[in-house]
Amino acid sequence: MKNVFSERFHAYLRGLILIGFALLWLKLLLTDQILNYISPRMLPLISCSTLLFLILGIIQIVRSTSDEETNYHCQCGIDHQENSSFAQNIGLYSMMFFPLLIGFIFSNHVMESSAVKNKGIQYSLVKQKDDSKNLSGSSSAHSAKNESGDINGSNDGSAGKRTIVVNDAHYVDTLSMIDENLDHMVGRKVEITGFVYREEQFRPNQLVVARFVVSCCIADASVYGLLVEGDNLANYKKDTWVKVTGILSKVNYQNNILPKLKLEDIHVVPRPKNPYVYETYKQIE
Amino acid sequence: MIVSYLYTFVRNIIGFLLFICLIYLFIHDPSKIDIALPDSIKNQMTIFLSILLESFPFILIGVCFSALIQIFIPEKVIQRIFHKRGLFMLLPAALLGLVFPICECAIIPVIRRFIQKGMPPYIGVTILTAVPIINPIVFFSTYYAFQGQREIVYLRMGLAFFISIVLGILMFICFRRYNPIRNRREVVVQGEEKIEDYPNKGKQFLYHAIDEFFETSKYVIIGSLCVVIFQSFVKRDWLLSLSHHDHASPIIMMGMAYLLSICSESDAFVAKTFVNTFSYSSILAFLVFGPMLDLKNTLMLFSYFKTPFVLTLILFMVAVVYLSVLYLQTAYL
Repeated sequence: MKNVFSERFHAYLRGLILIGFALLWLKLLLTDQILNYISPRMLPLISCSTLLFLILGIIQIVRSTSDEETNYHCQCGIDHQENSSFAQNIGLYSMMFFPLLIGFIFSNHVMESSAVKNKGIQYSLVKQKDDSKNLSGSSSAHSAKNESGDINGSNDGSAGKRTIVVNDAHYVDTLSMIDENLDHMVGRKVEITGFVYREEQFRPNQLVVARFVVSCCIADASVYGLLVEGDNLANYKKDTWVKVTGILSKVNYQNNILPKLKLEDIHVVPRPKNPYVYETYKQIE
Repeated sequence: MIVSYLYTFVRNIIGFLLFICLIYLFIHDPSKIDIALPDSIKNQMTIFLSILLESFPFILIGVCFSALIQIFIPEKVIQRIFHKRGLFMLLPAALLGLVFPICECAIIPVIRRFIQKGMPPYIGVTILTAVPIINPIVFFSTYYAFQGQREIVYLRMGLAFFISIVLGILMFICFRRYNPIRNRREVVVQGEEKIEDYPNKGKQFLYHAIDEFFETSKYVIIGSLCVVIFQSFVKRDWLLSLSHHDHASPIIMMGMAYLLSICSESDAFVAKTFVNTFSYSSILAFLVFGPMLDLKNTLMLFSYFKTPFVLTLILFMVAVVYLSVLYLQTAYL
């Protein structure tokens, strides 16, 4: 049986795998589903590697049709090809084809509540100040400046309190701004979009509007959420995408002071085209 | 004779079918068919593929670098650089990342190639541990992730520099004249290698890159699978409950960094989410240990280098990172 895997067949299979990766990456790029996996920041690299996979794949396929014995080995002094049994080869190649298969089949899957359990959810973006052991951050210094900044919708004039819209582009910035200046922000109206998430101990009138925040790829995603309280919330099933407007207030949850929205308006929205928000490298100061 | 024709026939059929499958998968629309698998499995598969998507570009960079070194840099040059310079070369080695900012997935094939060409293993160890941290990309991502706590950035860089030098010295003492490269099958070494041996350098470069990509990527694929399996078993809350112990929490965070296997470019953003629960020194342990060693590349280390060498290296890494973080914690924080 071992003879089935001739040198030439090895070379052909490898070429096929390389072309497969090129096709998968290309499909994800063309359908924008790549954003279900990684941050837009990575797209140039992904495009380059698609091209490289394609070139290497074509070269490898051509290499597999060549008759020269020397083409199968490079003379680098390190043995690349293991002398493996039939079963080992089957295992090796099915392992290489496996990511291709899942990539083509599950590419439209979006992580929501079911993935939060392992990741844990962040309700607060600031360091608790009473922890004496830690370095003193300069966070309070820059946040005061930031409040008057141009994070959209926020207006530091106390009279004309406009609604703070937490939009995708400034998602983390806006939430951390709210968190760091919670005392000043209480009473302001906030609008936020996300999927419904509940923890087991939640009362029926509570839910969290949550979002996955990705910095590089979905493996490093964290979940950020804002607690919402109001009537008739039990009708909103988990993973429903909602747009919520509410008045900001404070709540003591598991010994942390957290921001909370008192519900004013909630309605179901379709899942946005980009279900995740991405960490920007924009400097706040 | 008939048997060999039969084999050729089987091969052609399999090859053709696989090709058709690939084309079918490419044009098929995943939203049309809903495969009834639990969400948790779909989540795992999504994370698995995203790790591959993120690391493959860097692996390609790594194997291309490695192939370039193999084809275009003669052994003599490398040996001359390191000849009789000993430990002094550790300093430039630790700062190499400033010029070549590559991450931990890409560095291992490059290091193996350098060591094979005559770089002393202890220099290789210093490069291996320093480059994924002391480089501009990681500096900026840490800088942005910890906007409120700038000290973290400088402590991370400084600690990585110190630890990589110490590891280099320790490996110098233990493995001064030792060839750590693992060879699965004895390869006939054709006397002194000459660069002119390669008739067509362009072709050889590409062949090398392809072969090394397959050698490397299979460990990355197994490693990433292990990562997603571990991530689904290890609950974050459970780890957080252990965060209050002063001496245990750096170890917990090092274990976390190992299991999460996040690329050094983005791990700062994950570390940031621990700020409320873990002390600064534990977060520092996470940021320094993760890029040096993680689940994804441990397999690669074991397959590239001999077992005693890798085991000693891992032991030293754990000990040096833990002790230096503990020292920082008691002395300054």
